[in-house]
Amino acid sequence: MDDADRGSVTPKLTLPGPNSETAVRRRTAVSLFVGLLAAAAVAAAAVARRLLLRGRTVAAGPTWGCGYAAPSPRMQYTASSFAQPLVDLFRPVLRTETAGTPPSGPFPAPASFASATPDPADRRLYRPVFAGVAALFGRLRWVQQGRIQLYLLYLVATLLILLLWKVR
Amino acid sequence: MFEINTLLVGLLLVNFVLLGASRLGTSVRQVAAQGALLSLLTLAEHAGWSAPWRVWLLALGSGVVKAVVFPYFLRRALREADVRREMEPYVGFTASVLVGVTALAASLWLASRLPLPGPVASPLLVPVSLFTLLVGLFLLVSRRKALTQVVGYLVLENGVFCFGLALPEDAPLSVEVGILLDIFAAVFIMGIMIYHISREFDHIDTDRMSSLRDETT
Amino acid sequence: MDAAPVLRYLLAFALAPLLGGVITKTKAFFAGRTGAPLLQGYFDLAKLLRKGTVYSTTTSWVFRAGPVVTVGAVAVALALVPMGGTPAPLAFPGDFLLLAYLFALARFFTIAAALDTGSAFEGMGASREAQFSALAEPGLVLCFLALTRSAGDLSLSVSLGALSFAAWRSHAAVLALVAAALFIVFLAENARIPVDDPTTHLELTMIHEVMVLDHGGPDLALVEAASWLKLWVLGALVVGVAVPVRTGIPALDGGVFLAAMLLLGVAVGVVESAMARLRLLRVPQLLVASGVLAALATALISG
Repeated sequence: MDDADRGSVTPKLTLPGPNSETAVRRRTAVSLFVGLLAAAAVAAAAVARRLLLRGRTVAAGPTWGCGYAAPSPRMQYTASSFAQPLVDLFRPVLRTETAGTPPSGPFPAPASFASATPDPADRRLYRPVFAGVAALFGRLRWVQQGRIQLYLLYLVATLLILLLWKVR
Repeated sequence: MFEINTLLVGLLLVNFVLLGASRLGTSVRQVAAQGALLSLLTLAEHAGWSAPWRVWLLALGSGVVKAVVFPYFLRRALREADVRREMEPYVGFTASVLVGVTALAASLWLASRLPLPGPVASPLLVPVSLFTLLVGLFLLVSRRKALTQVVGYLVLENGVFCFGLALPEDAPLSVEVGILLDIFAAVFIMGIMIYHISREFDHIDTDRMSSLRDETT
Repeated sequence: MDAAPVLRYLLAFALAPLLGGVITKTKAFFAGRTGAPLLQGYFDLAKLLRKGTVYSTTTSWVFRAGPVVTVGAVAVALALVPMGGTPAPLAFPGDFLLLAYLFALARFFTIAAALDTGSAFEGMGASREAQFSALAEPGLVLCFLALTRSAGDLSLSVSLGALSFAAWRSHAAVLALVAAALFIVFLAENARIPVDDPTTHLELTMIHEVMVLDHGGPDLALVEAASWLKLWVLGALVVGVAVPVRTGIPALDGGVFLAAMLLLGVAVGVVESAMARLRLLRVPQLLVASGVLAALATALISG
């Protein structure tokens, strides 16, 4: 697609080299401008609403309660329920574990449901690797005796060996 | 009074006394003596009575700090902790002296192998400073009481100070003052800590402070 | 600054509710009804702006912030879209990303406001909306990618301005794929059949409608305005790809653009009348399909 195909009007902003100082300054200016514009648009909408509601009734009360007369926080959509559609999409990887008794029978007894999605990377990658590394280094635990004299001895011995090596 | 070799031999003997001393009061007194000897050595290095005033200042300053101030801190901590003797160090006292002799031989050999930037005031200077260093390290490693550890640290720093005297004229004064400040801060802190450790635990035995975790877990 | 882009922006602002009216009229025609008047959108807005409002006792500032942020973000997004060959009032390299993120901002605040009411009903809508937008976004961004790569410039105005019927002749496959993917994203983001039914009020089938259930009065007016503007933004993108008329006369190009937008409204009405809403489990497949189409288009460009 060459220039002949372009529209009849050329766009306004063309920048010089992508990382030259003028380009960076231009970019910053544009970002700030757009940011301020967005903030201004939101503020304008808020002010408009405030003005519209002046002199009108603004009441507070229970609204659409989904038919429940006394909703409680436990009836709210939880975080795991919010994420459930997406988590379901990745079921083979995430392997959510669910437990509970569903309602059954014409007059259902109390039912329960619990779900947990353990982090697959943590479970299957990090923990085995870290456990292996910890076991490996556990074999060096005899080095740590808790006595400061021993640690100083390590230091002194290393330094002396280095000194002797250098001087031989 | 400013004969370099005499002072160095004096330093040597003080080190041996430190190695063999079991009474903590003796150790502190010997370290004070070492500090005094080192300040005299500083003056001797720079032509004795006719040394420039900066050198006099450094010598007197370091002498006062090492021979008066530090022993005062240490004796105070000693009084509070109420200990008299180093009991059963990791390396026994006679064995320590023998180790000292080996260390002296080693430092003599090492000094002959070290390449030095210029001529030294005395052929004994570098060996004695290395020896003092090694004695200090040995005291740190082989003694149980926290106070002897401080003494060992002071001896170590004395060895470094002495080694610094072997350097040519250009920078040593600022270096020495820097080292002095360093030691001062360290001893101050260590003195306070021993005071508090003995208050908290009723002893300053490093042996009984070696468990790596809380006994309640 | 030229007057033309700003004029077109204001015109778009004014005409957006008309597009909704066209869609409703088309659906009514298919159903054999007379349907609501074409200007019903304006009447609704006027009615809502005259009312007071009721705020639920469970809500907080998030609920009150939802409508204003939504409408503000979409209004700024409208300023980024070129219409009928004229560049947008706001054009700079990378503005297509800003467009996507402004939509995301609006969506975030809508979802947050819905969750803020504490109603499980609105939470359900929010959760579904989150899923569908998450799946639709790759399609949108990949379409942008294809367009910018084909034009060689990172600005949406330049990329869309570079299209023309000659471009269609030489790159028919790519542009067809992009147009199809953009159309599916258009339907998904604006809650149209087959993704969501904008006229239903049955509990299990609402997605977008349910999130704004608690709003009333001026708040609802702002939400409705935002939805019309969003319709226009995505519609302008679809029309910009599908009908890139470049006669060289700005007024004529603008007129053709407007006509194409109304035709798009008719097309949406036809789609809504001819299809039923997909099963909820099938919608992700549709959205992923749009993403695949867009990815194909990008691959064809680079290849």
